[in-house]
Amino acid sequence: MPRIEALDVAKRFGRITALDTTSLTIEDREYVAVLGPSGCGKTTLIKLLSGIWQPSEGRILVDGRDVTALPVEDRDLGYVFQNIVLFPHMDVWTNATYGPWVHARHKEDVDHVGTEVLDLVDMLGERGLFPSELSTGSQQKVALARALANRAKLLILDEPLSGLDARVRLDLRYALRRVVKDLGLTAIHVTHDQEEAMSVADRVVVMRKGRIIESGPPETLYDRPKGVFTANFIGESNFLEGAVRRIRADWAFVEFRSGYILRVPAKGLLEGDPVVVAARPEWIALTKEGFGNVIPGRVEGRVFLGATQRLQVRLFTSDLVSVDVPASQSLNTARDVLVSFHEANILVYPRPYEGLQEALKLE
Amino acid sequence: MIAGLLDPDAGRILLDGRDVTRMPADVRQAAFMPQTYSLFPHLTVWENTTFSPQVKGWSESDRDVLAREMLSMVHLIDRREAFPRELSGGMQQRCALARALAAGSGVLLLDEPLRALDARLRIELRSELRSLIRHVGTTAIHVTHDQEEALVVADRIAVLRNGELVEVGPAEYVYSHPASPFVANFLGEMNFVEAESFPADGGAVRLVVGGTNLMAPAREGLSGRVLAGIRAEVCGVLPQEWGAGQGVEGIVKRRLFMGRRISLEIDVPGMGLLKAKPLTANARWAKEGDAVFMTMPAEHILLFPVPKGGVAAALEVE
Ligand SMILES: Nc1ncnc2c1ncn2[C@@H]1O[C@H](COP(=O)(O)OP(=O)(O)O)[C@@H](O)[C@H]1O
Ligand SMILES: [Mg+2]
Repeated sequence: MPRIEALDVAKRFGRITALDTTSLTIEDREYVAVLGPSGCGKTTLIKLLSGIWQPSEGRILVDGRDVTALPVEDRDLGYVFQNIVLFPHMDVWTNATYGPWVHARHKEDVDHVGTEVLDLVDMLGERGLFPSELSTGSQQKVALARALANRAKLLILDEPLSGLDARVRLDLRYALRRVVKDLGLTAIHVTHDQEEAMSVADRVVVMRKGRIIESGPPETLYDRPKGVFTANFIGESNFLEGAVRRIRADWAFVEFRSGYILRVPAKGLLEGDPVVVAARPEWIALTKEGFGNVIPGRVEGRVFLGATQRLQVRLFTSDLVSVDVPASQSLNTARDVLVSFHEANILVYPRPYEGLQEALKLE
Repeated sequence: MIAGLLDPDAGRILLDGRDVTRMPADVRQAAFMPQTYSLFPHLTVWENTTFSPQVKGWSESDRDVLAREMLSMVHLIDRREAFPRELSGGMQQRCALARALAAGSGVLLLDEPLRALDARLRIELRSELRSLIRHVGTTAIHVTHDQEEALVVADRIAVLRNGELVEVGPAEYVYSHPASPFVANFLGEMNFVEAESFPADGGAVRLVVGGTNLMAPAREGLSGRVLAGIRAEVCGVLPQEWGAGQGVEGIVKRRLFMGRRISLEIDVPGMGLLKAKPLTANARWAKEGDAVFMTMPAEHILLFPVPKGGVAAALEVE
């Protein structure tokens, strides 16, 4: 039921802008991840959405109703923080059924709700244990169960997995998504971890420096990011700066340093445009053919990544690019290679006015 | 113990062949960079970097040259007048590194140096760290719980478990010749199944598991009942009707998009839930509920003795 709208909200602390004027709509039953570097305003955004903070400007609507002035305790939401907040002297069961909603019920109802939420997070078997007897992953599951036990339709998760070990994080990602979908909740999940955002959410909202810069389904954001920052932040990318030399029919010919040229789709480009061509390490390859979209280079380094290896190739344009190739691919002793950029696998952006390095900065 | 912060109960520590076991930390040639950066908050970036050379009595001009070089290397030369609180997390981390490097020691000890940073920043800094340490030419010991970080930064990996060194070797070797299921699993998600093995031609064995035959490279001294392991990231998926090569049929139970790769859990009759982590380009089509053929290349199957206490116990971290 909850459809959340933030209309031109901003939060300022004196001269500091924690969140610049921002609008965002979250549909009913949507799982949205808010992703961005530390300090970009993620927590601020969800504090405004949840009513913990009042916006300096703008309004918050829930299902069309203006709730901007409604205090947080009168809103119907569940909250899970990065720092796990469980009562140490209470067992799993008591922790999970502690919420105010549950308290107002009859015993059978409490039994029913407690059983249901602990079952959802796979912790029913540990109902009698105390937090100190649980791993941090299990503790976070109990915190989630408690948030769910309040029957809130809107679940707000602020870095819920950040304190946990890598493997545990993977399992919990899936558990979170499953619970949200099974119960038909709306979820807003804040994280600085791009992989986590992509794997839990229906839609990822990318933030930077107090603003939302783009949003979309995970696969769209990964395959076709609208800006260079996202292309780099959500998975790594190689960037080559060049300029459009010629346009012929559907193709633009982009020239790089030392006169090397790549052919790219011409859509939206004009001759003379300064551009940045981006390609992920797994989108480009080494080739033997000397024609087509290739730039020669020399292998400078190699990093073993398990099933793949990442080659550091110094192109003759003097750009250093990473190319992922299968670990089994052996390199001939001559380190001179041709790097192929397939037209379907490269992205073209206008060259950022503030400079590429500045546009990519992670902090 | 290498840094001299803790005394060993037994054994000795040698640096360049010299016994330093009883030598206090501050005179050893080992610089320790702890998990929390511990920069001096009231000193600038420049002063933090020149602190140790100054204590050692270096002349001012020598200190300047050194600090300039170190700070240029970590891209902080323009911020040399800043105080730690004015720096972002990544910058503080770089400054701590510059300070540790400027301590001019033979060994750099890094204890989870990237842990406090954002996920994406960690990826960027770990490559930077590797080239930096190469460039300086110092010996480094880098402690991490992140296997990808270990693969990327190190020449050699030492896997510790319960206070015991279980394997040491170059990343590629440890990855492809893990000494135990624990080590294998630590360097990337693994599938383990118990199987009956039968000798086959050409240094191979035939494994029978849940009614399926799989070929695998033989391992000396192992026969009969074995534990077979295969990494999730070497397993691919094909539509079931295209099934070709070695593999098993199953149904996709869960799918997580992770960017470069897609993480799949596949229910395989007779084997249980198996994991595959193919590159996105090869597996984008696979959805939950799809019937798939999960490829398991023979050359990537690892064999182990069946662990006495069960597989789960053999993989346990604590
Ligand atoms: N109470 C506050 N007073 C002043 N500045 C604040 C306050 N809360 C947050 N900020 C600033 O607002 C920015 C955004 O913070 P936050 O929303 O917590 O970021 P994130 O959750 O993305 O890490 C930061 O620069 C932070 O320092
Ligand atoms: Mg935050």
